[in-house]
Amino acid sequence: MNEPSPAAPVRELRRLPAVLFSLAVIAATLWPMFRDPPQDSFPLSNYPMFSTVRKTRWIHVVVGVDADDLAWPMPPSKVGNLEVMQAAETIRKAIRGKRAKELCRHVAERVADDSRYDNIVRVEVQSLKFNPLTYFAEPDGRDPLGVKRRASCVVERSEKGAPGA
Amino acid sequence: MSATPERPADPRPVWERALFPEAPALRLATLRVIVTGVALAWLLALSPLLYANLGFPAARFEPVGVLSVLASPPGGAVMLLVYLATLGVGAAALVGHRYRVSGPLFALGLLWLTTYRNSWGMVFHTENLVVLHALILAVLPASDAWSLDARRERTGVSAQGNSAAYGWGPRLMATVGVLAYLIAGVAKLRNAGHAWLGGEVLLTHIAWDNLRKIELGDMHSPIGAWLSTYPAVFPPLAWASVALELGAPLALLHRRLAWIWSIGMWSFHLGVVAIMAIVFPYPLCGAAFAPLFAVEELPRRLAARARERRPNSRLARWLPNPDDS
Repeated sequence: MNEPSPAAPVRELRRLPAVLFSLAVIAATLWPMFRDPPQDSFPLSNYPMFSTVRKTRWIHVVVGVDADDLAWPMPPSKVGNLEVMQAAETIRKAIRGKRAKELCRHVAERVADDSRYDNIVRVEVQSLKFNPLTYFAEPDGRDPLGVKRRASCVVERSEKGAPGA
Repeated sequence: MSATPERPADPRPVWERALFPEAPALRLATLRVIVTGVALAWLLALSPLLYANLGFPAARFEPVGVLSVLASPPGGAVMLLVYLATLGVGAAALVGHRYRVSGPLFALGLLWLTTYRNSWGMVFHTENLVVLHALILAVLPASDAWSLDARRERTGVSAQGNSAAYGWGPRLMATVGVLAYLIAGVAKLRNAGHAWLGGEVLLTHIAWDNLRKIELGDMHSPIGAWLSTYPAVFPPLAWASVALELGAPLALLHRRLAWIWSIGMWSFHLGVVAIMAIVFPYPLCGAAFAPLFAVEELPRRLAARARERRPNSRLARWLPNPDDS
């Protein structure tokens, strides 16, 4: 869609700015690799994903409990937004920061506003222990090896006849 | 993206040709269209997630990067304004309208918005490269061809012929791309040592990621779950991924190596989707690898075909014209 003018000059390379800019960008890109202790950031990152040997086998979840005392996982959208990784981090940091009760209440409020979860009477923040090597490989791998209840709160619905009320 | 028309041999020394390769203005313009187009599409796709971020309690704000200076999250009105303004200048940058202004503004807006998204306790690593590429492009003469600036002769230069002024930028973008993968490979060996190559670390990550998704009530990958029952598969997968990541700089040496590496890395990302249900859109759509190639060939051929079929069509007018070098 352009109409180049034949009389116009050709663009020349300005070597020094190009070299300085390139060196600065390359140094900035490599810099996170040399940070001690390593620290992730954005957009300059040390790209640590999937690089560590996983030591902990505890996973932190938010579950909704129905009137029959059955626990149902609450989707990431009830914890934060649609992103599961962000939800996982939110729960982990809430527990670590002793804010599990606060998170529990936040999720319970969201659950109370959603008619799809009318059967849920209570929300719990839990830590569950699993062995990832047996979770899919063995028939009873999905049974938690340990459960810790970090917080529990009732789903309060303002309407009359709310289930479980 | 294959062989370009024959040109006289470049008399410059090898090192100079490697650092400052000559390229047509259309290459940089094509990269502008690709990177800006993908970034705009990504911003539109992110809108529900960014909107949800606005409702997060301020206590959950953990600023990274350029937002580290903030003690509390920016207000909703500010974010909405930045979002809409970024879309506006992004559209201008896409068509090369006053690119010297719209390009940098778009890159900064993109940086701000994606940093905000990554400032809620989780750095996603899905947008790093597109942001870095947009920031680099912002300082380059990426609207000398195939742009409104060129059509209105605002650039003050002729887009005909090759120049190192158009070649060093794509080379830098390609370098940043391969360095990102190299750093990821180094991180694996540094954090897990040779254990990573044994496969069990990878198996644990894949199984853990899928079990976490199940327990958190999200969609998981049935292929990854099934594959987790076959530990023997993982040592070759671990070797292959580390080899691709550590071998990334080789892609800068020769166009053929760039093809081999790009296809390998693209397959790697496809594998990540299949076994972990994690999508890295920028490399998956091929845009992350575009700076390694003579990407101008694609619009050039499309334009030739469009002109052949319907010379006066809007498409033929909007695609690069034959005078683009």
